[in-house]
Amino acid sequence: MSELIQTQFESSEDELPEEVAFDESKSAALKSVKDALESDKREKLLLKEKRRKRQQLFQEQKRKKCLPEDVLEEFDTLPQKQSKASDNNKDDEETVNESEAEAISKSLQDSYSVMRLKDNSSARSLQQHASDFIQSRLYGPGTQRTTSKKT
Amino acid sequence: MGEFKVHQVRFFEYMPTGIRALAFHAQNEKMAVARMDGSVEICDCSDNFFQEKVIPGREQCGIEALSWVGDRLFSAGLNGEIAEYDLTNQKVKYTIDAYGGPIWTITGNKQGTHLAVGCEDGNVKLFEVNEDKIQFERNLNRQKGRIISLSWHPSGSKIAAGMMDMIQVFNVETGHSIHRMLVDRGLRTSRSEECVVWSVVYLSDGTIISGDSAGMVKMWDDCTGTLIKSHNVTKSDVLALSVSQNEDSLVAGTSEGFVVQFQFVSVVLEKDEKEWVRTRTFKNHTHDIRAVAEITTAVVSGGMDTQLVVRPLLDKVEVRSTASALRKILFPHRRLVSCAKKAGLMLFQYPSHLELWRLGESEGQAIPGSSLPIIKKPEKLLLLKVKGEEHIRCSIVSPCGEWIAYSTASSLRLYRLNCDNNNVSITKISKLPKVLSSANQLCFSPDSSHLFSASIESSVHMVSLNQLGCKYVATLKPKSGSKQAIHLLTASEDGKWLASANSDHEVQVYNLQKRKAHCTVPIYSSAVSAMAFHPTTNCLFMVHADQQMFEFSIEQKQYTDWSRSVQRNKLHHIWLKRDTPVTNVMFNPKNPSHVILHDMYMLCVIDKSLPLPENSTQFYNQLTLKSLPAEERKFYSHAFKICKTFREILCVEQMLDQSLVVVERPLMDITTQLPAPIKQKKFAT
Repeated sequence: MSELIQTQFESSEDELPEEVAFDESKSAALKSVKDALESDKREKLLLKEKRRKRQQLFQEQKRKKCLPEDVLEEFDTLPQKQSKASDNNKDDEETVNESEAEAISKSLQDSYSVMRLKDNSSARSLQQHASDFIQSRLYGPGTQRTTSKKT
Repeated sequence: MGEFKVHQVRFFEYMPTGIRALAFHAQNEKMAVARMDGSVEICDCSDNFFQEKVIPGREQCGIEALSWVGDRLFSAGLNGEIAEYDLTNQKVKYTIDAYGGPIWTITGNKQGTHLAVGCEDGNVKLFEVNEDKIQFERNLNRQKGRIISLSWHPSGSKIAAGMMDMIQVFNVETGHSIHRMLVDRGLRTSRSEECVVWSVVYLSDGTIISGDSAGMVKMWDDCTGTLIKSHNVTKSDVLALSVSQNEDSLVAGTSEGFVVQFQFVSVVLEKDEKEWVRTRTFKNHTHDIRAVAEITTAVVSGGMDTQLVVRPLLDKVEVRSTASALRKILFPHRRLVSCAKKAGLMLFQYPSHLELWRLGESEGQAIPGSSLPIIKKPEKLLLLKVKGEEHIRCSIVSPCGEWIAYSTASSLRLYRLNCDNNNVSITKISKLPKVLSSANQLCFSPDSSHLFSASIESSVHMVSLNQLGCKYVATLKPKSGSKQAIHLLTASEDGKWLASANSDHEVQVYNLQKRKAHCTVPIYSSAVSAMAFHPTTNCLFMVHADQQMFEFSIEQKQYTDWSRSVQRNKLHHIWLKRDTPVTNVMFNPKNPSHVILHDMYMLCVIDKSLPLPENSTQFYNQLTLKSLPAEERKFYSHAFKICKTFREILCVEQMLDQSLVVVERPLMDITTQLPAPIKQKKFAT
């Protein structure tokens, strides 16, 4: 038992402390600093990338809201043409309107559509909805109806 | 004495429409009846409920509610529009879009200043009633559900609205909701289905009574906003409520077809505490009752079985008379059938088309009462559809069968018909005189040379017809300057006289050769339901809605002796108790003293040469007379010969060969085509 203890003491006592060279520690410290700097840079780059992408997205959306460039160009040129004959004006306006309509329909989302006020379908559908309601309350499921022939 | 060959016609498939709303005007005693096809009838309650005015409807236009404001009538429907009616000219005056979506109810306040409409989008809209039009004033606070029913408090300061699952009480001035009373959903229906408060009534003591789809009639207190009492009336819906003028009686109409009465009586004798107690049940309908109205002495109800039922309240009626009997009004009081006497053609008027039929033929002789074999079947020659959405107001075919004319509320059309045996061709006369814009009634002269069109202000336009077309001749105006619309027109056989009857109970006779008014018949209190000129004596025979009859001599400008004797003797009580009006009067060419009349249930030949029956004698004595020997028959026979073999007669007309055409519409055929009624458990089924 005493030998064990002795050997332990010996191992810790006999050995010299490890030598760490000054250069090594210096390089280690420098390396850690470099790593930190690099990770910082990477983070900054990532953030920049994100911001750039977001900016692009916003620009895209904004572009979608606006009319396409060729229509805008035509708008710029249109006031100059007003001095010409009315027929020409109308034709131009019609073409502008048509292309405008096309452009709008291209740029609208899928759930939207263009309708004329004359078609007046909303009033009809409301009326249909109301008469369906009363039909279902009086004659729909839940009511116990029989045929007229049985009365 | 009266032997006729009778064509029994059942191919007119007349289908009445269900009644949707009733509105009673207390001062004039008029009942406005709105039907599902958009037509409105004004019945005179004091004149045996005679339909004195009819405003035709339109396609795709139903009415949901009616309301009187003073003497003006308003209606609203699911198309979102409020319409005011011009009752003098019997048409729609104007319509206003309420911009609230479909409208479920319209009601005017007691003061006559405002109209409230309940809309699908949850708004209660207030309109101010001005002299010529109505104008939108404001909305009350918008609610989340649809407003199904409304009722003003008699003071006009509060309004109760029946909605889905709740009743809201609004303060009219501020527009805020004072109370929100929740209605229980029914026990028998699924809990997920909302309870619809179909009808509300607001009483002056603050009680609100509601009828809902759970079959309950509930009484609420508007001070505390709580339920006072709940009555289970039916297992289906309570669709309509109506309270009497003095607020002591309430009637509720149900989906099963019976009307329940509640009365505000003291529960303990001679104590003041009064309660609403369920008293009587009236079972007079087979289908849903959509509208009830309590008038002073009776309960009027109407619904999907298309009949208007008047049930007198015997505790309010003082004298037992014809007024105290149950009355059912089924067929219209105007003629829908006209016939071309010389050509054997009949024209049937449907709401949006006309049908022209040729009668069948038979041969041989047979004993009275039996039917002859048919050798040629009746055939449908023409189906003429109306252009546009309006319904036909009146139609007529000329006696020669070559002209057909019909009128809607805004236009009149005239067609020339060519029937060469199997080929039928029709051409429209496009260039009509400008005065022929719309007619309340049409009539051809017996030689088919002229058309008479009853127009505004009781005037009659006369146009001549020839090969080339139609030319304006004259306008006949009454001397009295009445503005009411004409509902009956008839011309004499020789083409010299024309008579018109209007809603002011005036009968005007015009001289067609001079084209001026000749004379007026003294005004009688009841409306004329049928009239005709005698072919030889030119006396005007008139039958009124209260079953009285008069004969007026045109040349002498006074009542005839026979007419005076009828008034002296007084008509038999069984004749006076009939509850359907006479709609056609004809004469027998073989016997000038015969007058042929019909109402919905009987055909009658009056022999003016025979004595009038006394009140004590048997009225329907045809069978007894047959059993007596010939000498005794003369002793017992009287002037009225009634024949009851035909069922539910719509019209009886006479053809040139002295045969009669009876157009029947058995009630069974109508009932089988009605919408389905509620299944009711009957004993032993």
